[in-house]
Amino acid sequence: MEFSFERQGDRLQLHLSGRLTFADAPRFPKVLDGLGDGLSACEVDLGRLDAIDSTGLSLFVHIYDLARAKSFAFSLRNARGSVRDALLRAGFDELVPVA
Amino acid sequence: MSPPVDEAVTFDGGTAESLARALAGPGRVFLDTGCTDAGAGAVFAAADLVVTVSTAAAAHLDLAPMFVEAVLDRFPDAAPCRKAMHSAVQEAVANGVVHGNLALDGSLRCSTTGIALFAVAMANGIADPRRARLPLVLAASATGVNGLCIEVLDVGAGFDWERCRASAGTDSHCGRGLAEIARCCQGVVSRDGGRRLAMIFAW
Repeated sequence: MEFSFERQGDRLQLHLSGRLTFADAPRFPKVLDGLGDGLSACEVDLGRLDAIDSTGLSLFVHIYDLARAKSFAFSLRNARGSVRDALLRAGFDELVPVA
Repeated sequence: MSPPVDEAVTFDGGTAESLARALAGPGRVFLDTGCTDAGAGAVFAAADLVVTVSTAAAAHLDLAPMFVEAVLDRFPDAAPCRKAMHSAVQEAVANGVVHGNLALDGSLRCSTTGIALFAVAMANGIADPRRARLPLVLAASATGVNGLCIEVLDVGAGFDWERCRASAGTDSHCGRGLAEIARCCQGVVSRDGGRRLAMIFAW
C-alpha cells in the first residue's frame, strides 16, 4: 500500500493505492499520525486501491474513531470493485458516507 | 506417495518474481528456501498444489493472490470462485501470519494506542529470524468433480475457531477475518487446534 496526504486548509485528502492488507499494519500509526490536528474533514480517496482485507478495513475504523473524537467529517470516496464490495459487506456505509 | 518435500521446486521468498516464476511452471510442490522447517508441508502429501513459505515472505509478498491464481491455472473450472478464493485465502494467510506464527495479540489493534504497539510487535516479529523463518503452508486439493479444498497451515499455538468465528460489529477494529472466510466458502473446518484451516469451494 502507498499513501499520500493532500491538505487544503482544514480539509485533508488521504490517497491510498495498491493493496491494503495485514502486511501494512506496521504503517497504520504513520497514516493516523499524518491526519494531524485541526481538521474539519478527512476524505479518503480509494480510486487507486486494488484490494483490501479485514485488517485493512480496520484502518478506516481507526480514522472513524479519530473523526468522532476530534469532531471532523470522514468519508470514503471512489471505492471500486472488490474494495467497494468489502466496504459494503462490512457495513461501512452505515458508519460513513461511501461514494 | 512421497512426501512433498522430496519433489519440491525451491524459490527465494525474498522476491515476488522468484515465487511467480516457480508457480508458472508445472510443479506441484514449492518450497521457500528461507523456511526453517522444509517438511511442514509433508502433511499435504496428496494435495494437488502445496506452497510452503516463510512467515516473512508471507507478510511481504502478495502471497494469497499469487497462490489463488496458481490454483486457478491448474483448475480453470474453479474460476466462478475466484473472488471468494482471493478474499478467503487472504484472510487465512493473515490469520496464519499474525495470530499463528508471529503470535501477536490481535486485540491490540482495537485502540489507537494499541495499534502502535501492534505495529511495533509485528515489525519486530518479522525482523526476528526465529519467527520470520517459520513456515506457512498453503495447499489445494480437488474434492469431487466441482470442488476444491484450500488449506492454510501455520505452526503457532493455535486458536479456538468456534469461539472466534462470531461476526464482528461494523465499528469493530478486529474479528472480521473469520466471518469473511465463512462467508466466502461452502464449508470451513478448523483442525490441529486451529493451526490448520480447511476451506471448501464448490462451483
